[in-house]
Amino acid sequence: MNKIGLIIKREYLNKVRKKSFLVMTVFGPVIFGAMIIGAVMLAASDTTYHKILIADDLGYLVEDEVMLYEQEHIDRPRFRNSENVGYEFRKGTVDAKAELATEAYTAVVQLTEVSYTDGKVEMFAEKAPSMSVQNNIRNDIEDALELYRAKKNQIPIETYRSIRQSVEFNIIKPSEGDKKDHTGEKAMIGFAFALIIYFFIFFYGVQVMRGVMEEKTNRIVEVIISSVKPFQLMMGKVIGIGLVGLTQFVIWVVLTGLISTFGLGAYQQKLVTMQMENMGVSVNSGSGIIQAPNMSADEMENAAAYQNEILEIIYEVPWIDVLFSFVFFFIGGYLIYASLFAAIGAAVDQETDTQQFMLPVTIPLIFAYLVSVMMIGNPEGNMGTIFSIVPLTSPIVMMVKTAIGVSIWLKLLSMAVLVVSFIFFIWLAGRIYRVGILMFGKKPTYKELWKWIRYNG
Amino acid sequence: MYTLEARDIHKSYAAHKALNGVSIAVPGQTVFGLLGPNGAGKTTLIRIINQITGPDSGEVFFNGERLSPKHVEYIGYLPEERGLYKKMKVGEQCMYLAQLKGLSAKEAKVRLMEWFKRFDIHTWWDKKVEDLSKGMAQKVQFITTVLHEPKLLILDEPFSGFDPINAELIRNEMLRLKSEGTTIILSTHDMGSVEALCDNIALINRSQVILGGSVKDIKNSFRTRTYEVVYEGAAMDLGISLWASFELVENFAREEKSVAHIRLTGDRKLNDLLGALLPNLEINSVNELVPDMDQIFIEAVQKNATHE
Repeated sequence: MNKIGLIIKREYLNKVRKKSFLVMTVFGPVIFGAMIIGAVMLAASDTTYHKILIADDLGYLVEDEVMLYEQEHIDRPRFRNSENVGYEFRKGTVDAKAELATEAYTAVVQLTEVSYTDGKVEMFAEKAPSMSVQNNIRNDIEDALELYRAKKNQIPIETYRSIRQSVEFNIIKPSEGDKKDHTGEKAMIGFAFALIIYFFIFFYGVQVMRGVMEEKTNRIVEVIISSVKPFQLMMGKVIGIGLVGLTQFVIWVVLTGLISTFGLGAYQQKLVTMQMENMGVSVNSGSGIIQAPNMSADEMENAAAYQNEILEIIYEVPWIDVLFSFVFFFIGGYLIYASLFAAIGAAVDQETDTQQFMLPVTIPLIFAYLVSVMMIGNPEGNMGTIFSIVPLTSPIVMMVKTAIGVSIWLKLLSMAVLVVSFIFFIWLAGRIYRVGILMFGKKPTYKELWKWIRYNG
Repeated sequence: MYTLEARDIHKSYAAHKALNGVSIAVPGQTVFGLLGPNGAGKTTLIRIINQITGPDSGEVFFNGERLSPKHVEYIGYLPEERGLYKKMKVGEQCMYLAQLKGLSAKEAKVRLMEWFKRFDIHTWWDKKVEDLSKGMAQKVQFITTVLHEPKLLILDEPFSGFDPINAELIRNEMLRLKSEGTTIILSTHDMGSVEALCDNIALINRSQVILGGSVKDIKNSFRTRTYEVVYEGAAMDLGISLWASFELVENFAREEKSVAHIRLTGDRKLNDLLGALLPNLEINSVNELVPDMDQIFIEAVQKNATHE
């Protein structure tokens, strides 16, 4: 036991003291943090300036009726100019190509008669504006066309709006105090944990494989196994690298948390101003569109309800169970896969020969990932239940299952199966390992691997 | 009692029989040569002694006790294919290997310092292994093999990669260790060092021991009572003096001298030969042609091959 401790210590220190570990550990969260901030920034703003020409064959949008209508009935401005979007309107059909060629506009939107009747609108742009800009334009045109049609049919817009209601479909679980069902959202949260396990198994599994190959091709392995049992050497490596993974993971979580918190904090001020602008507080100039604060009481209520719902989802996720399972299935899954990767590393002499043996090991891993993706769409399906028991897939699939909520029996069964299987797989890998590390020359076949497993002594 | 004794070891890998009833006995404080062509089964036997692999049948005894994992600490093994962790520092690596053999960190450090001084490499402690030359790495490997003061030292081709000066250094270390009580098993193809170092040998061929015993006895048994006579005079005179009483193996010129290899037949002695030669020739020197280990090796293996 003392010797396996020495091996673990060497593996751990050797990896942790490497420059690449330091770089990965420090820059990993910096990159993650930057990505999170970047995503928020991108969502909040599109920094390039868009000049958009809206041409309207019939001219209603530009001239009278629709706009007037809005003035009478709605306090919401459309086509607001802002820091990064400017609109211009023109009656008639324009040559979009020519207009774009002048570089006065980044996009040209053409409304035709068909647009008024069938709602078909075309936008011309060499580089499409960001989704948020596109959405704004589309929503505004949709709104204007609705008003036009309502007026044409002599329906007051309030009446029209009250008729045109989308259906909000909520699933209620009576057994859980008639609350709204959030299974899909919870599956997403579970999936995030599943993804972490997936990546760590892959990344550190391959590290184990490389480490074993290094020892084998360096020919130090024979010296070491004259002092310790091959099994001790293999487990020392698996455990040592696993601890490196856990160390890195913990540092990442802490650093990513810190960076994104501080990063977002610093950015918050800007974010607020941007949101204000988006709400239409700023005053437009030149386009003749009337400006007004645009968040109606309705919308405020919606936003509050949305926030409540997020809180509800967060409360509903069984966090203690999720975190416990994360640790358990992380370790169990890692032990299974890392020992298999160790066996692969022992069986071959060169990195290029690993491909053939990697395949059967990576397929269940990728399959488990796909199953958990599918579970987001269909969280309560049988597929998820089955593969949360199968040992090679359970470490990933069970995370999604746990976040949704899973019966204690299924969980215990899955855990028991996992424990039995990692003992089995470690044993199996150890059999291949002890023979493989002393075999040089041609790549073994599966038949030979099977022989290795059956060798005695 | 032998330091190491292997009795009737059998070991097969699938269809290939690596060892077929091999027995060796290594007396304490001697150097034992384990010889044989490539693929004869030497490495398998060495791995069994190191408990890297187990025999299918047969027993191994260490100082009279059945070999068990606790004996690992009393054995030092330098494999033929040996390496070090390239990215580790020399000192760190030696400490690691020493501790795996059961030394405490403190003890390992003290002994390492001694050895590093003895080999004049104390400036290497913080060097990375990848910066060492092959010969330098070999020195480090030798130190890590003997550091825990094993009772039994198993060296597989210890001189490969060494220049003559360092090979001599290792040879002297081996003799010093032997004089301090260490038993050494030496597996090598370098017959010169076998003759210089070994007390006993076992020659393994095709998974079996085909020749074993003390180097002296084996050499004696391979003597053919042939003498090399360097003389001045005509070949004719030689022929006349030998007549039918001695067998002339060959007769040739070397550096302007005539040389004859003559075998004694029947119960004739060297004196009889000299008596026959002296009246006719002027003799410069007479030496017995004792077969060297190279010849014994080749002869034994070839005889074994034709035997089959």
